[in-house]
This record gives sequence, structure tokens and C-alpha cells, in this order.
Amino acid sequence: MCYKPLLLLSSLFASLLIGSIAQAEKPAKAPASIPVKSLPKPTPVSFQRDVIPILTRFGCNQGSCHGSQYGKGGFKISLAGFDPELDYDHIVRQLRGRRISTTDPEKSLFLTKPAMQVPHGGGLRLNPKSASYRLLVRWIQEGTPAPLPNEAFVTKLETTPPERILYKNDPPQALRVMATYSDGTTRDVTSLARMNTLNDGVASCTPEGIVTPINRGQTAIMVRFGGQAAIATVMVPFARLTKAQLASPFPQNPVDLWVTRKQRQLGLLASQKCDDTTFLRRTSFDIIGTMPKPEEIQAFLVDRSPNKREKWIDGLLSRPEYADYWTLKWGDLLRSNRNTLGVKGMWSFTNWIRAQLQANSPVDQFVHELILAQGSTFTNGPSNFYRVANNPQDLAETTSQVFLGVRLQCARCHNHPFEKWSQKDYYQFAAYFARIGLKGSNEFGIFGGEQVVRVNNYGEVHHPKNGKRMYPTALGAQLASLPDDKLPNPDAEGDRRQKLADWLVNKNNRLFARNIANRYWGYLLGIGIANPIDDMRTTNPPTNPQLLDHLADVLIKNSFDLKALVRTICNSDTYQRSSAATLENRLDTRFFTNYQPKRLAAEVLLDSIDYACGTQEKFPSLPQGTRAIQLPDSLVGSEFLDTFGRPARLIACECERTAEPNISQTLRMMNGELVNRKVGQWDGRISKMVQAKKSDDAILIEIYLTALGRYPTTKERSVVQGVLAFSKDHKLVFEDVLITLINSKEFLFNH
Amino acid sequence: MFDIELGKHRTCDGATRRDFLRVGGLTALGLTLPGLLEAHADVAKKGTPKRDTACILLFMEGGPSQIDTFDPKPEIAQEYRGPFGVVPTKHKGIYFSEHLPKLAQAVDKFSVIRSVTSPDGTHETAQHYFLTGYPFNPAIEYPSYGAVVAREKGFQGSMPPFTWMGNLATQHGTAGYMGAEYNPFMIQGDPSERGFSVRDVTPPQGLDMMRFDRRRLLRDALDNWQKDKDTAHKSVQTLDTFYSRAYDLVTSPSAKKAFTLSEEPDKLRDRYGRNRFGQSCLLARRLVEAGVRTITINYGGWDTHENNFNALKNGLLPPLDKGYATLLEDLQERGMLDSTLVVWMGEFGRTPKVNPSAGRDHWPGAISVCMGGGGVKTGVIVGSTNERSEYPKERPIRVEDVAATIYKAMGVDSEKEYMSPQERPLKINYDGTPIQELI
Repeated sequence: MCYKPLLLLSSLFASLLIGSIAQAEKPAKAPASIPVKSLPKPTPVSFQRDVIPILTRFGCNQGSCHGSQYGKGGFKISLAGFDPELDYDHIVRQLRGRRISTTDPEKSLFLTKPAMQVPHGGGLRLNPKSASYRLLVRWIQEGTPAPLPNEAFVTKLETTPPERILYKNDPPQALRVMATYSDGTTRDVTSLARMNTLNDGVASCTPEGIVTPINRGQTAIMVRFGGQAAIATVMVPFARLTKAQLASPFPQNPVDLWVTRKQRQLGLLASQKCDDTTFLRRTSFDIIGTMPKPEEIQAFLVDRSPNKREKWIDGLLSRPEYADYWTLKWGDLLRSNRNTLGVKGMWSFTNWIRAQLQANSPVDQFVHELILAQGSTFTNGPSNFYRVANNPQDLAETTSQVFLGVRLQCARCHNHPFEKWSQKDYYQFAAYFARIGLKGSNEFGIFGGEQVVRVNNYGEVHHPKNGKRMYPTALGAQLASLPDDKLPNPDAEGDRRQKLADWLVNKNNRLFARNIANRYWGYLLGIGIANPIDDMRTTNPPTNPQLLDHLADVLIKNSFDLKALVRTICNSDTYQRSSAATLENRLDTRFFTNYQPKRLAAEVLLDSIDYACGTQEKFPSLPQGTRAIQLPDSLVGSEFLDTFGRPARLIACECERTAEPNISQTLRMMNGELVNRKVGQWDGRISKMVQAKKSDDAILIEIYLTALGRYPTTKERSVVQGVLAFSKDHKLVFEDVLITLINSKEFLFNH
Repeated sequence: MFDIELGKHRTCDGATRRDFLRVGGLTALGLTLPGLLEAHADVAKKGTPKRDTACILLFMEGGPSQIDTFDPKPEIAQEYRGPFGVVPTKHKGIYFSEHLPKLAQAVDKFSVIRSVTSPDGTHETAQHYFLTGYPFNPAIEYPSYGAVVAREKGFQGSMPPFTWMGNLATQHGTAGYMGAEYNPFMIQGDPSERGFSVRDVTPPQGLDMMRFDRRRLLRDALDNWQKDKDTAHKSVQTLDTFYSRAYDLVTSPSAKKAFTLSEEPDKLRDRYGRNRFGQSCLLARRLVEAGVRTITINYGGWDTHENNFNALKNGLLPPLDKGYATLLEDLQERGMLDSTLVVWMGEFGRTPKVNPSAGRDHWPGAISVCMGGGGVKTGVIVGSTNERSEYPKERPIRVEDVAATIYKAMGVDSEKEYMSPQERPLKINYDGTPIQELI
């Protein structure tokens, strides 16, 4: 629908503009060839629909200008216009109305400032000849009508085209943006929407929506208008594939099919599959956090059966270490730790998590039980979920981030700056947890620290700005706009969390299945389809939405069986790609043409050092033989694990576990007491082999198999033989070889 | 601890190191270590090359009282003023607390900003604010000054560009969203203790240099995975960078020298004060000489809700006075003050009114911050507070402005944008203006 002829013309003009970045809007001169039909009577100017979009479009209400917390130059309006009432008040009423001159609209400070007719710190923003300027003049002429309570709001934005391949020297592409309003009307908002590229290294985008390819890769153009955000995907291929390459058949496996399709769109070709020993080490680390044993490696290498990789993956999935390793992962996510929960609570939580993984409980049931947990934190493990986060806000943030991959935190204080989540969404979601209480219990003595989670019959969450009682509402759900007293009682059936739990894990809730699928893909492939893996939002789109949807479907079709998801991913050629990049795909880090090496997690690293050295770290207050991946929380003292980035389990973000190297780690590995002690330990692997008078060659092979999971190459053998030939004490040489391997990149990375 | 002169070392095998390097199997395979011999040989070289501006940040974790340090109010009632007297400085009408006599003498070597003000009176979030120049935001951890400088300027010699002494108790002050690569190198332990040494920067105990070099040669020969720079993954290459930095650090005589505090004359060590803070200041000066760009010394204990005056008088202020004043004097005597910015700050000030426990509580309304050197003017008093030091009376300065001043002195472009992991462009400094009186 054509809402305003003036705006339509200016948007037509904008799409003719190619490549110029206009600081201030150009005058709206309609090209003579465009016929202007009879103009309908102008609709009155609306504050929300017309004025605020102009403030947004020209950056007046952005965070670095008047939208900042303190405003700018004494004039403050809300960030991106989320608070029309406040904006209206400050524009029209503040300073006793000095910003508006109704008698001479064009003398209004509100206009003379951005038009630079008086000094303005933000420079020229608004050209007096522009359509936007004239519209603001008209708004003042009409008597500065205030925001209307029932004004239609934007419900959806669409970009045309939604997806586009542009080769490097292709001409620019114009984007069009259509907004759909809550009253069903649509409007071309190309000239009003804010558009920018998420990666200007791939494609640039002018404020008018003119997209120019820059360099290979994929980017999203982010479009924001009226509190909504949408994206258009732009792909700039890495190379032009030959006809033959494009014509080769697609793989059968749907995972590989979607991956290959995206790679071909981008002119990418995948690396070879990895060799057997790499496959064994990679899958063992990824599925059970444990090195394969020399005898397993030997047996696998001589196995001639065509499905031996599949069988191996199945074997790993039934190993007891599976539960150890994934308890560590889920323990991080759910933040089981004794500082918050007490030692008893922590054990009860960790043991419950372990039991779920041992039994391979479907993840929907696992999460459903967590959300509905109540009772003693000491005897009912999942109730600790309500002690880790213990108020409606923290619970809302944790629940949405962990189970939906949605980071709501920003919306706690203000509407999310570039997402659709508003403060209202946030507090409505938090309202599900309004009635959860923690009560001390003396069951374990007055200082026992036991807490009981219970559902109170009181408690509400209120909006921090307007004080309104919030109705518990699922994220993204549109509430029928009923007056408060017409809404059904959320507690009519008792625990209001029941609705949340049911909605959360429902197979129609794509957020849930996609979040789990994306996390697991990220764990196994080293990088998520959407990355960071726990930050799914419109403006952090998945690089391959069809692949993500397929994996979500796999999860749903297998009744939320996590092992089935792991099996599907690990059996794909994509997962089994070599980490050796080719000259053609070396620049790809997001499209899975080659395997991204991952530094071993702190616990896996320590266990692997122990395994290679034939030693066993002893952890305080835990039985001898407890491995690092079996630790119940991250407060079991270990300086080594802390240095290598195990998470403190204080925040619900995957980013808390760091795998980025730093120089302290390197120094610790080279010179630290722990590693140096272990390589030469009296009852360690090397001492034992030397005492058993094994041959130099046998010792070297065992060192390689246990440290790197492969045999030494001829060159490596000759290097070591060369050193041995000049040394009297061979044991010391082997210790030096072992510590060298432990410090090698091949050891430190799962590749 | 290790001898770097070639040819002297008898190894356990009875061969000399020189023999080993020449014939020890590895050189026979054509493997050499460029840089190794040079690194060992440069011990004889003397003299300090010209270096960039460095920054020593003295962070008073807990929030020091402004009234009891640099902004006393001798005329007001005892319940605000507290029991401390004042000492005059060279500036007419400018007094410091009587427990900072040396700093009062040294007033021409630093400047005091008395009118810093902030809205944040919570430790964790205010520490983030002061250590990064950004108000706390639960969604993103901003990088501290030293991390930004490290990213912008890189290494200067073999020393890590960003070093931290004392606890990182607050979890703030790191590289934040920029990632671990730029995190500070932590110097743990108390430099005033006998036997203090910096961890892991020397070869492990009992390992002779022959074996240390053998390991290095072996690593060069055996660590072949993803060696091709054209196709190697970035994360993997980063690790190689760290190993070469680590070897530089471990084998660099100048780095080793920098960490060896015992080389300082006893007299000077006494002047700095034989306590953790004093000796940390002295170590910081040595690190600056060796090429470290930013050193944060975290000096905690200022959260004096109770017993404020005893804690200050008998515990916190004397080491501060001695250490900070001596650092400034020492830097000036060595001609280093012009190229070394020294900053003193905590996360807020404390309440003007003394509470019933003889303590002072959190007060971010008026905060004293000191800075000077490295191109930042010294001997200037910026701003003033109202009668009771509750709020700035003139020249209110925000934390953003303090940050902008630090970046300006360090030659960092505050306007530059980094991309956060959420692909959000973030300026190095948001909305700050360098303090004109000091630039």
C-alpha cells in the first residue's frame, strides 16, 4: 500500500542512487519521467509512524548521540525510539516547549539544530529541502500530535531480495524493505529503515540500501525499523567453480548435502576426509573426552570393513566416559558449583546431570524436569537450577540463553539495541518465575545450608518503567491485546511454570531444537552454524539455515535423543573433513570446508598429559584415579585447569570457558612444575619402559601413540635417533621428546 | 640461574653445549635455530634503546577516601574531616593528608584531579568502569587500557606488553571481549618476600641449558603439524607466536634481568619501602625499562567501612606514600618520567561523613585521581569539590575523560573501533575528552 506519496518518491530516488553515501538526506527531487498520479489527501502525521523513524534514520536517537544514557547537549531521547512517550515529552514539553515553535515551525530548535541553521554538535543531519524535513514541518504545523495509544506497530520486516549472490565485480544491488503493521497494512520503508552490513569486509551497504560486493564471504545486511529487525543475506563467492565442479552430484547424506550446497554457492570445495588415526583421536576427544588407546588404534588400522567408522562412533557412544565428558559440558551450562549450591547441593545437581546423560534421557524431558523442579536442593538435584539463578530476572536470562540460545540480558535495562526483544518481552518471560521461592531448611542441621525450592501463591513481576504487572508470556508470543482483567488467571492450574516447560520443549518451538542442534554442532565442529553458539538472534544469523533446520529435525524425529544427534553429525563427511586446508579453501572459517582445530579443553588437556606420561593427577578430597573430566565442579583446586581456562561456572555463557591460548599457558607448559614432573616421574610411562629395557624404537612408538595417537614418521624417527646417537642418557632424551610432543600444536589441538 | 656463555657448560653427558649445537644430531639434519645464539650473545650489549610511553597504573581496589588522601577538608566539622591533619604542598592553599608527607613533597611530579565523579558505587561494576573507561554492561566485558595498548602497539622487545601485579580479584581489567591473546601477564607472589621469583619465566628447576636448548631444537624439528603458513589455521599459528615469544622471554637476558629485583641496591629498595606495594612499584620501574608497556599494580584493602582511620594510618597510607613518591622520584632521576605515565585511582571515593564504626562508606560523587608523566602534565591540580567533598564544585570530570587522557598519552586513537564478538563495533573510548589542563 502506498502510504505517503512523498515518501514513495524519495524511496524511488534512493534506489536510483548508486554507491554514494549521503550524510544528510538528498533533496527529494522526483525524476521527471516518473508520473505522479493524483495525490490522495495527506494523512495526518503520526508521531510513532513518521516522526520517530526519521529520528532513527538520521541517527538522532542512536547510542552515541541523543539516545545515550545521558543524552547529548542537554537533549535526551530514547535509544532507537523505544519510548515514544518520553520522546514526545522531551521534544515538545521539556524546556517549557522551547524546542518547538508552533507559530513559526521552521524556527523550531527541533529543526534548526539538525539543519545546522544554529550550531549543532552532531553537524548537519537533515537537509531543509528533504522530504523528511518537510514532514517534520508538517507535524509541527498540524499541532505536534502526540503518540496515539492504539497506533498500529510494525510486526514484520521483509527485504527484497532476501538472499543474493554477487560476484566481486558485479554492479551494486538495491534492497527494498517492506514493513507489515499490526493492522495488516504494509508500507515501503526503504527510505526510512536503517540498513547496515554486519561485515563490511564482504559487502558494503549505503544508508539507502545499495549493496556493493567487496570481498569473498557471506554477510547479512541488517535492517531495522519500528523496533523490528530483519536481514538480507549477501554471498560473495570465493571463486568461480567450473561447470564440471558444479555438475558433480550432491552427496546423499542430508547434512553433507546442505553443507555442499552452501559451499557451491560460495565457490568453495571441501578438503579430503581425514585419515584413520586423526578420525580416532578426533572422535574420541569429541565424544568421550579421552585419548584412544594404542591397541584400539592398531585394531582399527587393520580393520578392513567399510563401516568401521560408523561402528567406532557407536562404540564410543556406549562408553562410560561419555557420561563423564558430557556431564562436564552440561555442568558448565547449568553452572553446578559449590560456592552457590554448597558441597551437598553441587553433588546432588552434578549427580543428577550425570544420571540423565548415563541414561541418555531425551533432552526435552531433561529440560522439562529442570524447569518444573522443586523440593530440597540436597536430595532433588534439579531443584538446584533455582538456586544457581534465584530471582525471576536471572532465571529468565539463564533459561533463554541456555535452552533457547537467546541472550536477553540487554532487555533487562532497555529494549535490545538491535534485536526484537523489548523490556516488555523480558519481564513477561521473567513473570513465569515470579512465584518461585527458596526456603531454608534445618533437615541437615541449622548450618546445613539445605534450601527448599517451592512454588508460592504470591509474587509478581512488574515492568521497571511503568510498574505494570507482567503476564507470563513465552518469548516471541503475541499476547491478544486484552485488558488485564480479561486475561486468564496464569495460576489457575497451579504452577505457572508448567506452561513454560511445555512450551519450551515443544517440538513446535524451533528455538529449542535449533539451539541444541547448533550447540552440539559447535561442540563437534568447533564453530557453530550460528556463532557464538549461544547467541541466536536475527542479527547473528546462521550461515546455513537449512542445515540448522535439518539438524533440529533430526533431533525432533529421534525424540530428542542427544546420542542420535551426535551420531548424525559425526557420521557426516563434513565432520570427518581433514583439518588441512587447501590453497582454495584456506580462507574459509565458517562454511566447514575443512575441520577447524580446537584447543583441548583444560580438563581433557590435563587428562591427556597424564595419559601420555603414564601418571595420574591427584585432586584434593577426591579418590585417587579421579580424572579431570570427572570433576564435579570447577572448585576442585587445580591451578593448571584454571590457567587453561576452565570456567568458574558463574555465568551462563559458553564464552566463560576459554580455549584461546595465552603466553602464561605456554610458559606453564614449557617450564611449569606439573608437566616437567610428570614427564620424568619415577613410575611414569618412560621410566617404566626404560626399566623394562624396551628398545628405543618401541619406546618412541609408544610415546607417539599415547601422546599423538599415531605412529612416528620416518623423519621423526631419524630426528630422535640422531639425538639418541649423541646422548648417553636415553631416558632423558625420551623425556625431552615427550615434553616436546606435549608442547606441540598437534597435541594441544583436537584436529 | 643459567649460564649463557657458549662452550662452558659441561652437560651430564660429558659433552659441551657448543659440541652439542654443532654435532648434536640436529644440526647434522640441517636444523638451526636462528635467533637462539644471538639471543644468548646479546648479554654483552648495554644501554636502553628509545622506548614508547609506558603506563604504571596504581589501582587502589576497594575505593580510597578522597578526604583522607588528596582532597582533605581541614576546615569542616570533625565528623566529616576525621581525625587526620594535613600537610601543605608547594601549591598555595593545596594540602594533602598528613599521612602523605612524601607525596606532598613530590607534588611537582604528578597532577591531582579532585573532581572526578561517577554514578556507580558498587565495587564490581565501578571497577569495570575505572579499569576500562566504560560503564559496566552485563552483556559485554570491555578491555582494560593495557590490553588495548598491547593490541595497538604490540611487543617492545621480549617482554609481554601488559603485565599485572597483585590479584585480579574483580575479574575486570583483562582484555575482555578482545580475547585472551591480550590478557595481562600475571606476576603472582609478593616481590618483597625473600626468594620471590616470577613463575615459569626460567627453565624448570634442575634442567640445564643444554636440555632446554635440546627441547627447543626438538620442537623445531618435530612440531611439523600445520607448519605451512599459507594454509595453517589462525588459532594454530597464534600458538607458534606464543612459543616464540615464550622462548624469547625465557632466554632473553634483559627479561631475566628485569625480573631480578635483588639487583637493585638495598638503599633504593628501602626507599621504596620493604613491603608488597613498594617493591611492586620498584619492579614496575624495572619492567618499564625492559619494554613493558602497561603495568597495573593492584593494591587492595581500601574498603574501609570500619576503622577507616587506623587502617589508613597504620596500614595503607605509609606504604602508598613511600612507594608512590619514590617511584616518581626514581623515574625522574633516571630521566624516565617524561616517558612514563603514572596513574593512581580506585573505583570510587568514600562518604564524607564518618559512620558510627569510624568508617567511611562507598561514595562515587567525588573521587580523587592522580596522574602525571609520559606527556601528561605534572604539578597541576584540576578541579575542586564542594565544602564536604561530596560533589565537584568546578570542572567535573567523568571516568571516560580519565580514560581518554590515558589513551592520548599512550598514543592510542580513542576513536578507533573494534568489532566485538557479537559483531558490534565498539570505540576504544566512548565519549571521553582528554583533560585539557593535563595535555
